[in-house]
Amino acid sequence: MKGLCLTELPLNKVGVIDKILIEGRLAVKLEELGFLVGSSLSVKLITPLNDPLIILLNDSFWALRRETCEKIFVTLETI
Amino acid sequence: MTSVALIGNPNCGKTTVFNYFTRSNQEVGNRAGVTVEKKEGLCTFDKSVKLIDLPGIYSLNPFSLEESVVKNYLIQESPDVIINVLDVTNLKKGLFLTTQLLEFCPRLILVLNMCDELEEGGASRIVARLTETLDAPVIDISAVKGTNMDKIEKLLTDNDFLTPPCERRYVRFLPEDEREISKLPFSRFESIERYVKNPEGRKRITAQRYSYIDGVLAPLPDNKNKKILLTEKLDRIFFNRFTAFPIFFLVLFIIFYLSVQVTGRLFRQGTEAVLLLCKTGAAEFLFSKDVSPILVGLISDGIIAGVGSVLTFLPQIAILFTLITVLEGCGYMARMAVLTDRIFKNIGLSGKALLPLLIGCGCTVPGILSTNALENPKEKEVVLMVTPFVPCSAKLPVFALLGGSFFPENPFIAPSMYIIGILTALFYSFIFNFQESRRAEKDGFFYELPYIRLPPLKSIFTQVIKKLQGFLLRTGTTVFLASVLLWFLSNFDISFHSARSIDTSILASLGRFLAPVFAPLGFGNYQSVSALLAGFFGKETIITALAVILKNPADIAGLLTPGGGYAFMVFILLSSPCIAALSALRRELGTKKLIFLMILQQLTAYFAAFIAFLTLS
Repeated sequence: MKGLCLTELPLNKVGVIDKILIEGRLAVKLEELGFLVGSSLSVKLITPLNDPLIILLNDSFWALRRETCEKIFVTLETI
Repeated sequence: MTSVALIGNPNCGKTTVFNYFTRSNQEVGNRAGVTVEKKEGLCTFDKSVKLIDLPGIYSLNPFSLEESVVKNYLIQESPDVIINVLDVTNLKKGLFLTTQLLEFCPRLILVLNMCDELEEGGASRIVARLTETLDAPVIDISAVKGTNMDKIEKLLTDNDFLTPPCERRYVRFLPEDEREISKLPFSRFESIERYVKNPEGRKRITAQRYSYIDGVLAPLPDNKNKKILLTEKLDRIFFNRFTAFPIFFLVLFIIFYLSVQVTGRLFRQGTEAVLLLCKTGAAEFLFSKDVSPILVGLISDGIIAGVGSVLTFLPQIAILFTLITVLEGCGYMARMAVLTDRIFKNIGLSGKALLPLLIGCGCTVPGILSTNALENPKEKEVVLMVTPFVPCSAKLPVFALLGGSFFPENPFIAPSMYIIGILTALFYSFIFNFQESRRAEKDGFFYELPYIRLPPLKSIFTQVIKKLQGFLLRTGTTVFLASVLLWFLSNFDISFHSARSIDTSILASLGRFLAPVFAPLGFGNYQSVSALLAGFFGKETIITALAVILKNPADIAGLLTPGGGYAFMVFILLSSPCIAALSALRRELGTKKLIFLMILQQLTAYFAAFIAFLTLS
C-alpha cells in the first residue's frame, strides 16, 4: 500500500501511521498523545483557511497545522 | 495536614471536583487551559485535608508553562495523595498520564468522571477492570451531579489507605531491555522518558505504555462515543468554508449587541431612576436628621452617585459574563481559536492567542493569567503586551454611556471600539514578531478540540455569580475609594477650603493643567481630563468621575463635539489599563517591559485619538 502524508489522506478515511518525521519537543508531545507508528487516525475536517486540519485519534479531536501533518506519513487502511 | 493533588488531562473535571469538596467557585470551562495556576482549598468534610487543583496536563513531560506548574509542584511539594481524574468517555488518552503517575505515586486514587454519560452498567464494568489491572482504588463519579463523591471523601479520611508505606511500581510498564533505567537516581515525578536520550528508546517506552493501556481496555466494550458523533456533525458546520466565519462574527456580534445595546436599552432607564431615587432619598433623609451639608454631599453626590453610576451597568456586565461563560462551556471558544489559527500564524502567533484576547474582553486580569496556556515564551510575551489593548468589561459601561450620549442613533459605536482594540492588538503582535516572525511557530501547534456539549446551567450560574462578585468587590473598594477621593478633589480648592463651585476645585485645577495636552484631540477641557485621570483606578471610575463632576455623566455630550467624543472613547480604549491589570502585567513581564508597554499605550492612544478626531471633524 502506498504511503501518504496526512494532508493527502482522504477525509474520513482511516490511516495507520507508518512514519513521523517531526523532531524536538513537539515530537515528544505528539508521541505521548498517541501519534505513534501503528496508531490509526483519520482527518475529519480541513478548516476554512485550509489550515489547521482536524484529526481524530483515540476518540479525541486534535487540530494540527498543515506543516506538521506533512511530516506524518500514513498507510490507508483497507477493510 | 494531608495534601491531595488533583491531576488529570485538561477538561476532565478536576476543578468541578475541587469546587465540590472545597465549596469554592473556581472557573471551569470546556477547553484546555482554564486552570492556569495551582489553587488550594481545605475540604469541607475535613479541614485537615488540603486539596490542590492543578492545571490539566497530558503527561509529566512539560510542553506548556501550565504543564511546568504541575511538574514543579509534584517535584517540590510531593503531595501525600494524588487524585487522578479521568474523563470516562475518553479513557485511553487519560490513562497515559495514569501510567506515569502510578510509577511515582504509590497513593493514587483513580476517579472516573462523567460516568452519568455512560450506559447503565457501563461504569461498573470499567471500574472492575481498572481496579483489577491497575492495583489502585477506582471510583466512578459524576462531579457535576455529585454522584459517589462520598466514596472519595471516605478514602481521604481512611487511615488504612493513608498510612501504610508504598513502593514504586514503574517497572511493570517498561519493556524488558529498559529495566536498567529503573536503577537511575532520578527524582520523584520525573518521567522515565526524560532520562532516555535516544529517541527510539523513548518511543519504545511510550509505545509500551499505550500497548499496556490497550491491554487494560481490550475486554471492555468499544461503545462509539455519542459525543463524538454530535461533535463531528456540529464541527462540519462550525468549520464549513461558507458558514464558519459568518457564525464566528455572528457570535461576536450577538455577544456585544445583547450586552451593550439590548440590555442597555432595557435596563438603563430603570436603573438610572433607582439611582436618582436613592440619591435624593438619602440626601433628604440626612438633611432631615440635621447632618452636615458636607457629609450629605459626600454621601449623596460622592458615594451614591459614584458607586451607583457604575452599578447601573451591572445587568450589561452580567449578560456579557454569561455569554462568554456559555461560549467557553459549550466548546465553541476552542473552535474559535482553531478557526483563527491561520490568521494568527501570519503574525507569528497561534490561534491559542485568541483566548486571552477574548477572555480579556471580560477582564484583563484573567486574560493576562490565561497566557500561561501558551507553550512558547515569546508568544506569551507578545500576547501579554497586546492583551491590554482589548477593551475589558469595565470599559463597556464607559463606551455604552459615551456612545449613547454622542451617537444615540448609532448602535455600532460601542462595537467599533472592540474592532479598533482587536486590530491594534493584532497590529502590535505583527510588529513585536516582525524580526522573529517564525519564532512562535518553532515549537509547532496542537490543540485539543473538546466535545461540544451543553454546559450545566448550575455551573454557568455559579461562575457568572463569582465574576459578578468580583465586579461588585471592585465597585465596593476601588470605585468607592475613587468616589470619595474624587468628591474631595471636586469639592475643595487647592488651599483645602470648600470650593465655591467645581470650577475652583482641585480636580478642575489639575484637569486645567493637563487639558492643553489633550486639546488637539478634541477633549481639552478639565472635566474630560479629570475623568481620564480617575480611570487609572479602574476604567469604570471614569463614569464615577463624570457623575461627580457633571452630576449627570451623559451631560458630557454638551461639552464635546461628536468627533471629540469619539476621540475621547478611543483614548480610553487604548491607554493604560487599571491598577489591577498593571500589577498582573508587572508580575508576568517585569518592571522594565511594563514601563515600555505603558509608554507605548499612551502614545498609541494619543495618536489614534488624534486621527479619530481629525477624521470625524
